[in-house]
Amino acid sequence: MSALAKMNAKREETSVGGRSLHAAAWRRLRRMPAPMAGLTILLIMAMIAILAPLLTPYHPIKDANVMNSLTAPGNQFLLGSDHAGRDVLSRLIYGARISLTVGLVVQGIAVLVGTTLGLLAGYFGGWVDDVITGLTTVLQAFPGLLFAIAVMSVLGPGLYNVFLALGLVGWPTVSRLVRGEVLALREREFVQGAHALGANHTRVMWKHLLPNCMGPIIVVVTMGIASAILSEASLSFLGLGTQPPQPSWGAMLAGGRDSIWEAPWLTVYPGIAIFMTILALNLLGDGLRDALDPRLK
Amino acid sequence: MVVYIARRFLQLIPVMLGITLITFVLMNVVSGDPVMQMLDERQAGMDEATVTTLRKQWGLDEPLPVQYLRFVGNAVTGDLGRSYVSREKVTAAMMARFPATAKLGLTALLFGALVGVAAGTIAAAKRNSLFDVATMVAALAGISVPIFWLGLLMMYLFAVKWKLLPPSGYGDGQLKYLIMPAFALSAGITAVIARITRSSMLGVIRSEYVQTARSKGLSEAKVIFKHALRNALIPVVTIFGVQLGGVLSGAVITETVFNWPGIGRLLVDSIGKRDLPVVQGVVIFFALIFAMVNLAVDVAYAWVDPRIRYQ
Repeated sequence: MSALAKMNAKREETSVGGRSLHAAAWRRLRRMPAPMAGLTILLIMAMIAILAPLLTPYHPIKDANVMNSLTAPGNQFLLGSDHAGRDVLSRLIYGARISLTVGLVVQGIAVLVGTTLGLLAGYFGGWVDDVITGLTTVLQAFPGLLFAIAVMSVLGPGLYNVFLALGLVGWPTVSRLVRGEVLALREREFVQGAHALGANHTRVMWKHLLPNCMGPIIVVVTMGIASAILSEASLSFLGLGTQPPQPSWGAMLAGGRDSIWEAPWLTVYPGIAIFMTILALNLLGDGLRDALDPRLK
Repeated sequence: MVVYIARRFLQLIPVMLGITLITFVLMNVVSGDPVMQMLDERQAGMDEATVTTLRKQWGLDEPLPVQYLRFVGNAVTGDLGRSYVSREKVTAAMMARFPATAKLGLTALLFGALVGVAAGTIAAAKRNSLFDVATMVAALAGISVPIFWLGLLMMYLFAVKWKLLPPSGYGDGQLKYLIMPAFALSAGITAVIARITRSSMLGVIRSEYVQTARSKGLSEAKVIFKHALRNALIPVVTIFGVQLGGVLSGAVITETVFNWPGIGRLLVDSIGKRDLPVVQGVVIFFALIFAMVNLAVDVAYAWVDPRIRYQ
């Protein structure tokens, strides 16, 4: 009896008709050209970021020489040089490290905090839910990037503060999503089955409920990485994020802003880098949404 | 309906209290001692007695909960304190710049709504056509492009290279100064609205009542714009409220790029000067606008769809 219940519970959780949901989603995704293009761009960018020291002709910070200031793109500097005479290409390549790290760390924080609180709120309900939902409601009542701007204005600029500020902004989205999913799943048979088998709260939450929320979480996180990268670039552009001489794309753009007349390459190339990254993530996110939930299409 | 509006209005109170509390804690606790910060930057070497007097004068010697309650009490009457730098009233400083931000924001929203809905509707009606594909590619680009980069690119092309428009500033409020910033700010919301309208429209087109309208022999244009669009717009209205958040924080960036004399620029300038009362005021003011618009959106939603009222 209990073995049968366990088997049924397991089957309902992870598979339909003997095929794992995620494997089916991956098969659907693989057939979509646009999301696969997005994924390819991201993988290439990740490789570039990892191999940065091997790929860059110059050091992104130390190889500064005022004699080379604002050299136009050419043989010496493929994408030109900045005010300090540093190679724009090398800085862009190292900038990929910052952007991807920001995306991953910020969403890491958002998922860790958001999933935990969302599970607690949805599973226990009552005052736990009231407190957590109240907090997410208030945090989401700040329009867009404004809360991050407020936090950065107090903490001061710097990469670690960016993690903190954007993580704070990001978790309510994940938390609300997980809470909603858990509310819908809580009364389902496989959860009751798990209870009947004597699983404790922690086990039910993390082993039975969470795996069933993974699909929507993956979609939200993909989009969240895009928004974190864009937010970091925006904060750095406003002078509140990563500080020079760190090669953050947003900060590079801000630095080139006043020389747009004589050195447009300082603005154009970092912008292309940000744009391509966000575009790739959006392509992948759209595809993942369609692949993980075919009903939405 | 009145009950619904009243109930929804009451929900605004705890949210605004939460917003003021979080902002207050950020600006007055996390940031450290406001008086010392002010003095550090300006009158270094001031003696202890003066610091105490100043603290008393600004009410900073009281316990924080008391300070917070007084802050909220004053905020309700429209008093958000004074700037540390200019000693100007924060509300006065914001109101002086509000018209510029409103002009920019409303133009962007209007453009986004009109162009987004029109493009999304036509794209759905002519699914898989060249127009559909082009619209969706443009929309994808619109949601991916950083506002500041789009703004700078336009500045480079239209102002520097082709000299068609003034590069930045407000002029005397002429239209030519508004075009580039409003377009840059609207790119994101236009794209989102076009995408939502299209997918919502595709769902509605397949529904039975639209088939019925068609089988009655109505023209395709009439079916789409008279029958389908109304229902297709419901999700668009909802997303409009959420997207306003993007427009408000986007205004901060756009105003910085184009040197637009609005509240967003005031915020960035005040952060630079560590003028925390102004930063605090702008954040709360923007959150209030956001909350009010979302309230209006919810009311409009309940009006369009009576089921919502009885939940």
